[in-house]
Amino acid sequence: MQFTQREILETIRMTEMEHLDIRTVTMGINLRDCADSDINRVCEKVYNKIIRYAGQLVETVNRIGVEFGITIANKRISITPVASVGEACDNKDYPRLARTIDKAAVEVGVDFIGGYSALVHKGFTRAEEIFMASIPEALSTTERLCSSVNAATTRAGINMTAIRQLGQIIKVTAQRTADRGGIGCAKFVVFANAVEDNPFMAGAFFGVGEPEVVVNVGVSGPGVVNHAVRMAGDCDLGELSEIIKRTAFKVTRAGELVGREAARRLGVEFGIIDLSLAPTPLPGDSVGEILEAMGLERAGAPGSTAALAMLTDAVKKGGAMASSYVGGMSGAFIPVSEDAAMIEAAQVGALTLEKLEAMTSVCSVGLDMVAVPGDTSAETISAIIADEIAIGVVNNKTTGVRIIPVPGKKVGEIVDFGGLLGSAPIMPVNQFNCARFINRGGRIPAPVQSLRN
Amino acid sequence: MDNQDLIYQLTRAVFNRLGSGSDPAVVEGIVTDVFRIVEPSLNGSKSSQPDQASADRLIISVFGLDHPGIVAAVSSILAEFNCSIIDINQTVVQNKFAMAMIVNARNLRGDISQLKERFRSEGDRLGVRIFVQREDLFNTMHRL
Repeated sequence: MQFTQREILETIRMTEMEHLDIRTVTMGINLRDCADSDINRVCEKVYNKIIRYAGQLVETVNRIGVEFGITIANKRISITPVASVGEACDNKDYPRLARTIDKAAVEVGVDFIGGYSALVHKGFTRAEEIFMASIPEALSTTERLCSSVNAATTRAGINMTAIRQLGQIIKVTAQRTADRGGIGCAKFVVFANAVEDNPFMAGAFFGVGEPEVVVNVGVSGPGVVNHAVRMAGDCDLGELSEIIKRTAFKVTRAGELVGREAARRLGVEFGIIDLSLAPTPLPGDSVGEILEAMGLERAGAPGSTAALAMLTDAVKKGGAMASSYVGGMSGAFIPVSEDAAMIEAAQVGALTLEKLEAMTSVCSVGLDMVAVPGDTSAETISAIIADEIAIGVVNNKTTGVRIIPVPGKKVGEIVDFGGLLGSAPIMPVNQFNCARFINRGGRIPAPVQSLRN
Repeated sequence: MDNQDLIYQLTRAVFNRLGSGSDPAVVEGIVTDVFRIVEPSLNGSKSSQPDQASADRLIISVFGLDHPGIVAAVSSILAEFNCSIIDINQTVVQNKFAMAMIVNARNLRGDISQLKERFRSEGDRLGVRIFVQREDLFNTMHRL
């Protein structure tokens, strides 16, 4: 037998018990050729193109999952930023385009479609101004559409005018979806240094440097890493890093195999594998639990930033050894509502918004799925976004904010979004005023780190 | 399957040379010797194209409490689905049964989801858990 029983058992344990799954197979589709001056034509072309390329996506990917005995949790689509797709229209009816895209997503059976997006890090085109204002309506009249705005890059600086406006957009979106806890905001991300090949939602869009159509894969494996860390016992952190690295290597290899098979069968190019540790609300499938297994009483306790830094680094090193095409976010996600241990940590007060912000400076995303009181002002939300974005810009990394001011909810209450989005405790927000700073608007210049040529 | 074709061709070649009156035992001996000599290089050439061969193979893993009839039941399902067994490793430790089989599913009759469903219901009947996964998953995770 070419495999030992230990190897076979390890694979079965990972896939059956420790939630080693392919979090998403995301097909990226270029929609730039759908531009037209007539909005009706754009809608028609966009709809037909999505159906043409992604019609077989769900069936093919499900079949591959059965063959490998690996759960492929989500099938998704990312598209060219919609602000650009609708730019040439005489009547820039973006919400209508949003509903068309949503309809196409329902038709092909994907879980989410991302790319209702604009890249405004240096400023707005006229179309982008109209697009930004359309976001609340788009998110409140669709089910599967995800939206994002890139408001800053290390090279361009921070578009504070956009961030000021985004605070208001988030508030309006929450109000428009108040009957479901403000769920519209759970499908909206503000980015710094957004990546073009991200397969994860809500921030996936298909960048302008990408080819016609690709398959990107996001693997997940907090449960597997958690088990490995627990089994390691009281070894030192160098050894623990080595164990995590090896585990990430195996997870990544499995993910790339599935991704390449999906791309081959769909007859499209394989793009990248994103090896982020993406938690789900299921017990054991949690990044917070990994931090606890490392020796912290709760996620958010002193030491959390260091532990997360080591975890993220080990995951990246293992993944980089396993695949040449690592891309997307690649690190560790710490979405509060989607991670059982993070939810508990926030509930008992171990994890505060400020500590979470510190932790995001060493992991792959940012303030993710954070619920705050519904009466939090738009300026405060903008300022929280600006802080997080500044971390990304200065440290030359991607950061994002997905924040939900839950209408009618106060600190300590819980909002339940259901499914993978999970449930979140409402976290307290610093009450001191920041309106004057935010209302200045303008663009914070690119930091000196941008002068690299 | 490739090996069976090769053995068939070797046997025909030897028969043609020795004539129809040759002793079948001698022919079998020659074919066996020749095959043993060329087999290592066959495996070498296979490794240059591991993916397709590996994608055609499944690893069937069976775990549960030991009792008579498990191997027989699993094997007969494999025969029913036209899968040939390449390798088996089976142990019983303290009444716990563990078996891993590598099978060739290139000529699988029906669909892999049907095979898995059949194993699921048979596993329930036998009181064991049966997992079916493509071999290349194990190759990818455990071999460089």
